[in-house]
Amino acid sequence: MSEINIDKGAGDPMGCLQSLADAASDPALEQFEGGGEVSLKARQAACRLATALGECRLFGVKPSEGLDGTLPPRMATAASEELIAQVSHARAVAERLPELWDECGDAMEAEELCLGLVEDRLSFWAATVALEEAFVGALDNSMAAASGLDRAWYQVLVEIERLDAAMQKQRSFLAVATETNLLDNWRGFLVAPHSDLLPWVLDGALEAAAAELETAALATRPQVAHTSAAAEVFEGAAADGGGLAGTAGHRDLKRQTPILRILEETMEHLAEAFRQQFRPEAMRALAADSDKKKEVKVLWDSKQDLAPLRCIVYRERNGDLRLDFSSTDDTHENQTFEVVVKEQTRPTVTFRRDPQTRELFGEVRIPRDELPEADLSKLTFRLKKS
Amino acid sequence: MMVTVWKGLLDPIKPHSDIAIIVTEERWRHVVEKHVRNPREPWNYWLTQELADGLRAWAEKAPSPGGGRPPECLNRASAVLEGDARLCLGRPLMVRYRRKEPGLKPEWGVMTWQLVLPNGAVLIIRWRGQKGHFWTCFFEGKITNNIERPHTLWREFAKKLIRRYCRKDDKHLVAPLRSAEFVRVDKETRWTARHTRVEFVTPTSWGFEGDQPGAPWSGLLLDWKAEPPMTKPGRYPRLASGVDLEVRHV
Repeated sequence: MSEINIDKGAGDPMGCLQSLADAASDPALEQFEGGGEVSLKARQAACRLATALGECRLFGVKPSEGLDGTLPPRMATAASEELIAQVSHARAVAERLPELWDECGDAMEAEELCLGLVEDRLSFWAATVALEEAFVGALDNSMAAASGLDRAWYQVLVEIERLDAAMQKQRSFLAVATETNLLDNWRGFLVAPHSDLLPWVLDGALEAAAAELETAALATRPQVAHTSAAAEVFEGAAADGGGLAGTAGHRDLKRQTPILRILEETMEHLAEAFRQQFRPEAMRALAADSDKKKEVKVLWDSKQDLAPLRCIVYRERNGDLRLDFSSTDDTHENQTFEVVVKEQTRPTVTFRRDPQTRELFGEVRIPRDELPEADLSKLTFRLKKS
Repeated sequence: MMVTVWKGLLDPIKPHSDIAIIVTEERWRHVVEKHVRNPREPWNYWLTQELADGLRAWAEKAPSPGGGRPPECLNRASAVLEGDARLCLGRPLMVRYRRKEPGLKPEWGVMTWQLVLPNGAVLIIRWRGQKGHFWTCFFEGKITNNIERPHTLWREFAKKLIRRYCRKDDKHLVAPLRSAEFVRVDKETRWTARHTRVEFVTPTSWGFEGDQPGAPWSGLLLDWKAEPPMTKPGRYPRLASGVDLEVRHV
């Protein structure tokens, strides 16, 4: 495995060949050429080689001749021993994941911890593919028992089962992986038969956990008072030639965290209403509905990601309410809007461009005295062009 | 308390300008407590055993209320990180995105730079307005057991980022569109963190076959030394060598 050639564009979308070349060129692997004791470094190198080779198998990538092959029994045994240690450590992490999450002290690092665990589980899968190949090959040559590979291989399977049990208890933490493209990319490039024999992290369990979280969040979602919102949308549009209005009721503004996202979604939905105003047919429909004093039902679509406007409302430590607006619509630059909250005009908001990010943003603060807690069971706010 | 400012770093977004990164004692304390103390992270190898031990001893002491001069070990460790950050920004090997999470100001997201250093460590810089702040630095996961071969470490981590943020088209992973959004929901608090506008800065240095979103990834991460470093041009145009300039009174 000393000759290393990687052809660019050789059908290697996940970048397996370079990892294989790196792993195969590790000088520590030379220890397997003699009959001496195998060091920790050599075991780790063997495990990396098994992982890289396994990824090639999973994604149907054909290594060049110098890199392809089956791990020799002695190397596979050493790789299995290292894999057992790594899986065992991963299990310890999985079992303490909630604690470790708290100990991270930084949300980004906590997410990295969870994502890393999912990625480790996938790399363990890759390693087992190469080790199984080595085990089967050794069985054919009656070498498995002699090298200790049969025992090590069995122990690998036991440890991975234990790891899976520990990880499955933490599915809701590990569900962060569903919010990246990681799982889709893995599934997308797998080849048969591996694509039919997915480990649990790829079989939809994490997506189900994410959906459960979403459902739980929706259970505390505020009720949107469509009636008044729709009426204000029209009135704002008719009087000022443009505007944005909405109503978001919520149960407890003190519980800031779930509300933020919900209000973001609320504003996405309102932004759609904002866009709708400028379509003549929508204007006519709204006008007709308004004349008849009928309810106008505005559809909820939290999946919209093209909203030009977004608002996040939160309570600051001193109790003040703060409304942060951002816009992706360039025409809003330097435009001033009136902010109407609970039928009272509040300070105006002017969209300024962040010099670094080029985003438009503005903010409004409302002292807590002006919006007592009792009045916040239903919060109404509206933007009107000044 | 501020430890130092890394000045004159190349700005990979605007190659003709400099940036400065503020390094504070508070963030160093986080790095030492959460990472330098972690025996699985190879800080001894990176900073030397003596310096890493010095940092650990410093973190044992309570922060001094009145401030004062930062300890020597922090200055030395900062200088090591600064050197690697310079290398990284010179290549550059960086992902940037806006990270939005409740309680983090501004609420439309903090510009975050994630640098992959030549030894495989990850350096996070967060921007507040025009000021960059050293936020954290750590080694990720089990890849750290091969510190003697650092080129394998940074490649493994860079590959992880590519697999997370790129999307699959027919036959390739392709660079994410700037409109792509990655949302993370926490179980307990249900806070939502969003990574928006994820961008692999200078995609070709990541192995993408073009500089636009949607460019396919070649599957190869070129060796650090093989990458021509970005050079900073002079602030004003200079005469090329060999040109004689004669000034005469008329």
